Amino acid sequence: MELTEELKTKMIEVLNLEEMTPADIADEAPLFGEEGLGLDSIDVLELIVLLERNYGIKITDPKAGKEIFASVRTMADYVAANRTK
Amino acid sequence: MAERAWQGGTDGTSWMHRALVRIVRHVPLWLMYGFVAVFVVPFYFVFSKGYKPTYHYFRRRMGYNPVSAFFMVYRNHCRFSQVILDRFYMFSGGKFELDVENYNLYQELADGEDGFIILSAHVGCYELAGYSLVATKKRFNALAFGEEAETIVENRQRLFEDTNINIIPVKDDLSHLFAINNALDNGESVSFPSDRLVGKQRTVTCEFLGAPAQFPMGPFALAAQRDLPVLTVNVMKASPKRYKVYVNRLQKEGEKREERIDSYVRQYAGRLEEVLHLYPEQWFNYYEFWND
Repeated sequence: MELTEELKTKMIEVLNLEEMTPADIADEAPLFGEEGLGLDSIDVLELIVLLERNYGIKITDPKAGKEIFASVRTMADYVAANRTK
Repeated sequence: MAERAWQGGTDGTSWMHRALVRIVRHVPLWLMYGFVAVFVVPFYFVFSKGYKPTYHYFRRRMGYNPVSAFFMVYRNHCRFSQVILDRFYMFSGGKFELDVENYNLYQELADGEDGFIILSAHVGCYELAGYSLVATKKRFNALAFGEEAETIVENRQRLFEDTNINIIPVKDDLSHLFAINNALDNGESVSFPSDRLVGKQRTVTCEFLGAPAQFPMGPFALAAQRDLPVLTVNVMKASPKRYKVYVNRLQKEGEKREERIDSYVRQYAGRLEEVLHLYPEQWFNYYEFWND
């Protein structure tokens, strides 16, 4: 499975987005704000744990977070470049 | 999302705060308390937006009759001003006598390897916890909302720079979330004000002092997600120079995440009720907290 699709599937599971399918989430769509998925800070905490548990990624620079979680595409790029498992 | 939320901030400009720090160094606290009670509180009492919600709190939640509720609002405003003065007294190097109940619950976690979560509230003066809950082995991180005046944040940083205390400011760039996560991963403690709604947040509704109230979901969701020990800490003003610190540990209950969140909120609200029954005038959320 392509990494972006894998991430969407995992996001739907951990964020309880039961009414959505991976096809409903565009790769480039913003994850935050009213134009995109509309995720909030509680969701970000879930995504941080998702990256740690599934890909062994620990984001040490707090200021980099918003760029990494801008969209599924940016998340996938970061995971591809930094995964340890 | 929350419809009721705290709309305020820390009053006063930076130079006013600096001036206040200097004044409390030289003027006895009891004199400042008296001055504020006579010349400042009556003004706020009449004109502040906090009168009505606080009156409702005493009438509906604490069961006071209309006359007693009116006087309790005055006492509440006096106590709030005293707590603010105490805070500046502390910034200026002053000390208070502190009596910590269940200190062992805190010490056990502070000495352990794992991170833990502290849930605080806008009652009494939580800031004094920085003096009493010392951790030599790990950092004590406290979340602070960005609306607070620069001087308050500067004073805190200066006051705590020789200690293990670190302030994490809440920012729009979400950096605080990563700082929280890293701190907990490093086995540190992180404390959250967990009663007040700031901006649009997901909420949990819970029976509190006899009526449904909304609490911010974030701190409780984090506690349920991370499966770490959770303490409540309430620091209450017991006399002019003495504070009492109430430490309690919350129990992990429920299998599902949602069940654990609900349970943590219920337990947190329960501990808060206990201290408010002991110190009813130390409730400092000046907006309509309840749904009725």
